[in-house]
Amino acid sequence: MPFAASFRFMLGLPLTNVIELKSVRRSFGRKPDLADRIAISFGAKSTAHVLQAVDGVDLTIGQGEVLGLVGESGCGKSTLGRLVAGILPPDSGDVLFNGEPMADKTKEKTRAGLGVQMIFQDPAAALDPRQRIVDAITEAPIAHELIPRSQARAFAVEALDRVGLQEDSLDRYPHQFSGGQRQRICIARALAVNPGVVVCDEPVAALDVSVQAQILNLFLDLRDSLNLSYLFISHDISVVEHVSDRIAVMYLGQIVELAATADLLANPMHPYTRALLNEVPTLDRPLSEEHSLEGELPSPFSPPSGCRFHPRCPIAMEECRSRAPQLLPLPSGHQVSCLAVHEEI
Amino acid sequence: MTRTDLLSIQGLRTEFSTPDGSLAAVNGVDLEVARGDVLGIVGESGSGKTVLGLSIMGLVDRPGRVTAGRIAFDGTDVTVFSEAQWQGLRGNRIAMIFQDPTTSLNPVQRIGTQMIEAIQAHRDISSDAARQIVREAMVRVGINSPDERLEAYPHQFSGGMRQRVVIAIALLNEPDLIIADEPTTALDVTVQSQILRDMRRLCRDSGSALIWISHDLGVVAQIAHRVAVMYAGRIVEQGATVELLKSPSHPYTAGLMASMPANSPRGQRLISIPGGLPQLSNMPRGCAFAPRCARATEACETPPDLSFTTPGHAVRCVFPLHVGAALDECD
Repeated sequence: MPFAASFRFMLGLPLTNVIELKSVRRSFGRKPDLADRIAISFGAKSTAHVLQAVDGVDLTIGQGEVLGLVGESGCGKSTLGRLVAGILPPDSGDVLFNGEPMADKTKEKTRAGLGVQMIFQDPAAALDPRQRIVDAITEAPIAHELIPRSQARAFAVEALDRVGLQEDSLDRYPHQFSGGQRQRICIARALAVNPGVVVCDEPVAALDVSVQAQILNLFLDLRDSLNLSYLFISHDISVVEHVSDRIAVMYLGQIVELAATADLLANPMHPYTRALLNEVPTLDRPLSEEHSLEGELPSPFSPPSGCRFHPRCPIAMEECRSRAPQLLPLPSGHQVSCLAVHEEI
Repeated sequence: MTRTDLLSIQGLRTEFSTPDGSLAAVNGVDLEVARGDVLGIVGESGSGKTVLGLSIMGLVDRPGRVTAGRIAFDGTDVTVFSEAQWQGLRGNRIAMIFQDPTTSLNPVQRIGTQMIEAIQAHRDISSDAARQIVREAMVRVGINSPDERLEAYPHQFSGGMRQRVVIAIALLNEPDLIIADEPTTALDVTVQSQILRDMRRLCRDSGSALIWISHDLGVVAQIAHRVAVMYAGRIVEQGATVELLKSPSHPYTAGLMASMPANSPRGQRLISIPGGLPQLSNMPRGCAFAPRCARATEACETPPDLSFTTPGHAVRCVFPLHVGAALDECD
């Protein structure tokens, strides 16, 4: 945590929130067409064409904070990342950046939208194979009139230097770099417009372990030197754990647990978090004989009733089938969405 | 080769001819796998681990070719096999599981049809009898209501279920050896651990030997009795899993372990190995790891041999790390 932020943290002052999400929802799918509407008017059940990817999420990210987001594939974590980055507008609810709505697409507001940038999983796909590195990095700042065209090269040299690449990379093309170097270029490009927040969607999943460590170090260094905030999305808890101040655990479009990293790992409260932590392969702990989690993520097209985790939950009660739990703060500082945990306390 | 060895590889070299000359993806690999053994092969992308697996299966396609060495399977050298001989072996006595189950299954054929075909290709058996074997295999890998599922097509299964089907197919003919190439990499951790447990149990029950190829030391540590670490086409360290992880001797193995985020304090810089893998077309003269190694000296300019530090633990390094000193000395 950078100095200013950790100072506020120590004094118990609230961090200024750069990102605020208020009951954000986003679904995908098609509207019922004429045939569907006729069928429905004759009394047919409306068929599920809608996938609720993010279903009522409240979150904040503080200045200089790294919020980790973990969950299985299909849980909606990438959609949430895109909502935060302003790439997707929410169906309902608000995504605020420094108090301003991200989805406001009027001209002046678009420039404010530069404040949140995104880094993707596959750097090879995120770069135009026919664009020189110098152009990739300077295209956005020139278009938004942050720098004059005449200074493009000098600007690019500085941007590359920040991520540990040399000046001789300027006129090369993406295919001439290794995976780790390409991800460095994507980071330089994202930082070229001076964002306050960077959404990192699985930024090291495609990299080898030894290269992954280099890139994670770069993320930590850049946060300290530029006072950046990250939303760090990954399926790999050991990666999220290493970089995050707080961790949010997502299951079928909802946050089920949110806590400071050390608290979450030392004392996971939600049965899903417990199972997830138990299943991470490590060098020092042998695989237990027992499955701690049966089955797979249910189809998000027809999520289970009540608590969405109840079909896989080892401590599910009768009530969990019908009543959906709320994400509530507990005395321990965790926010947990589980009826059984709420009852215990 | 000792009598118990099921698979014995000596001096295996697999080359790919390119316009820039011949590149050795596997460069002098020696391996032994006994019956019932589980061997983990760990390496980063480009280390040659997949090509090694394909070489054992006789599946290296042009322009690749096994150019030297001997692969003895149950005492017979298979590098000289004809395609017909290979077909009698593959899917029967040696089976392979690939990373992506979607591409291993035929999308326009019912699961049942594909599975029955795998049995009838090797055994003269009625469809009804084959169907019974298939049904049992499905239950063994944890797929309930097999009759219903056998009528389904691959796209009707989830990723984890598809990989289970592929594993069930691999086990159908009770192979002596299964080669699994990153079979859980595309899956979520929760599903991965289910598959790891199932594979461990299935191999224990059937006595099949297993070669588990992965980039993830954590996964290999969960399942393998022995681990071989590959770097740039060579095995650089090999030993019993517990011992190798407790005291890695090769600086590369130690660096790999140190760069895992779980092994270092939260929020602090990770120990990383500088640089990247060498290009096959531009390999260092001596030890392939020397340009990235903090311990390298002039002595590393001659290629080191794989030598034993303790019985069963071999390392290819002039300056191996001492027991217990591993993590402090590397960076």
